[in-house]
Amino acid sequence: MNAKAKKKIVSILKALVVPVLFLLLWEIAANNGWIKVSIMSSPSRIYSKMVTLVQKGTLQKNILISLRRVILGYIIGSFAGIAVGILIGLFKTASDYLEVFTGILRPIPIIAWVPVLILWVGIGEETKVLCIAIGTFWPVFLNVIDGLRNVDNKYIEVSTIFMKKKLPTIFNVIFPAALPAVITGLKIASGNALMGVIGAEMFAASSGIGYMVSFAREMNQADVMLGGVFIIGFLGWLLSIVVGRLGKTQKK
Amino acid sequence: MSDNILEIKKLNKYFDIDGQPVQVLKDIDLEVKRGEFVCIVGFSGCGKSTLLRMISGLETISDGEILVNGKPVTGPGFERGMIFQEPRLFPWKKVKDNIAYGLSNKRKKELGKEKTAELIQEYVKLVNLEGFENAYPRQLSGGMQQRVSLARSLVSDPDILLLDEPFGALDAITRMNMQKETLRIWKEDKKTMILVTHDIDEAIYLGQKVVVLGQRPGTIKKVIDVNLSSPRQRTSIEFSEIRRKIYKEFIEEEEIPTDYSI
Repeated sequence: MNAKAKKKIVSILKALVVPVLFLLLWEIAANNGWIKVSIMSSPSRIYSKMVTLVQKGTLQKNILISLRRVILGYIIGSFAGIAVGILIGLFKTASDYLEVFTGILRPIPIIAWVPVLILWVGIGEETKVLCIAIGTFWPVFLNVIDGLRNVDNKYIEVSTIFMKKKLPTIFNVIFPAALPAVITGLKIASGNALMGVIGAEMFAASSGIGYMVSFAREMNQADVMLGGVFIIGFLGWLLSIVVGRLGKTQKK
Repeated sequence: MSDNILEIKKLNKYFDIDGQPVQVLKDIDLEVKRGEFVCIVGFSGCGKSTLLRMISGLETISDGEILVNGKPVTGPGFERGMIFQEPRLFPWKKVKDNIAYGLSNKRKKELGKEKTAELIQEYVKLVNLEGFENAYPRQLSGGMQQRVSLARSLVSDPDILLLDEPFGALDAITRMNMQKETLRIWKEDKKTMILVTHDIDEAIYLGQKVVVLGQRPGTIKKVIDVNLSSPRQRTSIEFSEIRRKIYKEFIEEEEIPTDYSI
């Protein structure tokens, strides 16, 4: 085994120490009656419940439904954020007219849009997807503007010296220089997308992980509820890794 | 047509600081012959970089005139190349693409893809960077990056190359190498070069003419001709003689006691 592989295994083991200890302690606490199993459940109970849910097919169905919403909403929100961000970041006129308007819309929490969207587009898929799109939009939008406006003037001067026109300067200098900020925006947005889907599903859905968690609470099923919560965490973690990769390939 | 490639006439520059005009440069008159190597030395803040940026067209002229090839400067132009203190390469472009950025799109179209690549290769060779065409700037040392910057400015074949403390950020040995390289390129490419520096030795080593700028506001205190054979020896008596002459200009200004020795 080479040193690199060894190092990787050691780092994985290190990362596992705290989660394993946490689960172990929880299990012991539940089995010894230190905590109330009816509301706190225990890792083994959650696990066996999840296994039955997988056997019934409901768990993977709910995960896939949520993921589909997240991906769709994330793509729509990102594109919109980049497009409007470029508009405001590059054109003074656009920012003059839109800056205050977007400034007022931005602080509205994603959750507050759910009832509005239900009224406007109904209780179907659109509500969930739009909710995620809104959550994705803002961090992307803000970081695109920030990236475009903070391009080092030293680079712009190089373009000026070589008498480049506006468009070549934008594509050769301003966009590449702003790219790291855009990727930061996309990373933050991935977390928001997940928050958006869970929020929307808790309010207005009959499927998805968010619905599963909220319905389990009504049914007093602590194991299903907690299992769902951890799956949400796990999904978010996976999503951040995928988006993180994206940033790395860009850097080369 | 006169043999002056650059003429500066009664040039003044004011900066607006808190609504107050502050004079940075005052009544600058300077003539530079075609093919000449002129060095401008002065304390930091004397306006020497501003003067260079005005010649390049990056800075506006408050009063007076700058003529290049007899035509007044109103903005940047391909007949003037500029080297900054930092290489200012684009980290997302390869060395050859950074150099290619120095060419106008029109020129690239005229040349076609193949000829453009050849031309770039020629300049990669000129600055001794063969084998690094496909490297990214961060993979190069500071000196090598500055060479790329040099190639980028030379590739459009400007008449004048303006150098704004180009070696200020390099270590002593690299700096000396770069000075030697610059002289070689000056001789090979027959460009007019105007270099701004605070390093008096560098000015004497490179310049045929050293312009000493006084400060606040920046005025030309003295123009010293350097009639030394090349290659110049930094340790020669003639070299020290000129160095002493230039130091004197600065010491007067700083009002350092007469028994001060360097």
